[in-house]
Amino acid sequence: MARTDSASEKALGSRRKTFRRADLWLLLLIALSSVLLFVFFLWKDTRIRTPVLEISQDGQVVGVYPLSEDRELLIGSKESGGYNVVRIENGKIRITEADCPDRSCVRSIAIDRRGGSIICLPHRLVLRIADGAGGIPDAVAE
Amino acid sequence: MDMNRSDKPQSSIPPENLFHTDTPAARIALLGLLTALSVIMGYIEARIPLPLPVPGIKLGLCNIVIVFVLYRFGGLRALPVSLIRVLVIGLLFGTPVSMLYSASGAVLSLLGMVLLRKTGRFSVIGVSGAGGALHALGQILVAAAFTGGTGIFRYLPVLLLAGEFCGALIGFVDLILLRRLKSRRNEHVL
Ligand SMILES: [Zn+2]
Repeated sequence: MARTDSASEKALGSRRKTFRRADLWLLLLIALSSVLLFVFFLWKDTRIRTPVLEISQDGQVVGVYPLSEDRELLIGSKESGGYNVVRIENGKIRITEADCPDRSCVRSIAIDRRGGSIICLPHRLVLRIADGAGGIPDAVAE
Repeated sequence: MDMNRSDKPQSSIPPENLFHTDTPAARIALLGLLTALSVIMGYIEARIPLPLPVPGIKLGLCNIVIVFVLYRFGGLRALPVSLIRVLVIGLLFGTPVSMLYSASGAVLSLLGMVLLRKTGRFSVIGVSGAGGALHALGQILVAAAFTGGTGIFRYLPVLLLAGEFCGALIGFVDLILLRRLKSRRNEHVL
């Protein structure tokens, strides 16, 4: 059995440059596509005329709410477990309370009309800013 | 960060004995040691939560070990090391879901690195940098499948960049490591 296989001999054995031109192009390509993706999301956000909060669980929309009214929503139930408390306050949305194991949804940054999303992976819950141009349907939640 | 801290245990191992694995037993022992090391790195990483709404998403510090194994022993040996690491870390500090997406990140990252390395055009730094970005992509894809929403993709750009940056740093550290061990081996053998 060879101690080191040929590819790493090729990479290390020859006194080639540590950082090659091909590396630079590869890394630049990835960086560029990230930036493009970022710009794309920014562009998408600016196209939202009437931002609303869309709450979905298990991939299905469970409620749509305007950002203008302050309110507190309970998703799931505290008794049976698996709940998140969503608060809309001064146009900012946060998850203030949850019983998920990691609580990273509670720690995540508030979102507002500029767009973005908050996710609670254990509860498969997604809060996102959507376009409510078609009129806000009556909010229904648990 | 903890790059410096993390490569110390490896450099304290006498390389003449441990990295010149002629017998299968010695090789298995070393790979086991490296797997354990990657689990420790995973533990360290689990203690530093990223300011993201998605739990368990990692920058892939463990790749420091995976890249090393990939270059020293090849992709076929790096795969089990990576998967055992995912399993152990998932059982110890994670949830079944977080285990699934770290597995996805690990496999996608390793697959990409194996292919990029095969081309022979990139150095460890480029390969590892791309591996870091793929690691982020793999995790996000599974996380998106689980939330059933695309909202999570919003975090992809920043994660791709961070993963790429960390990956490139890791590649640099591994390059030094591989060179050091190689030159010592030469001294030993020649
Ligand atoms: Zn949560």
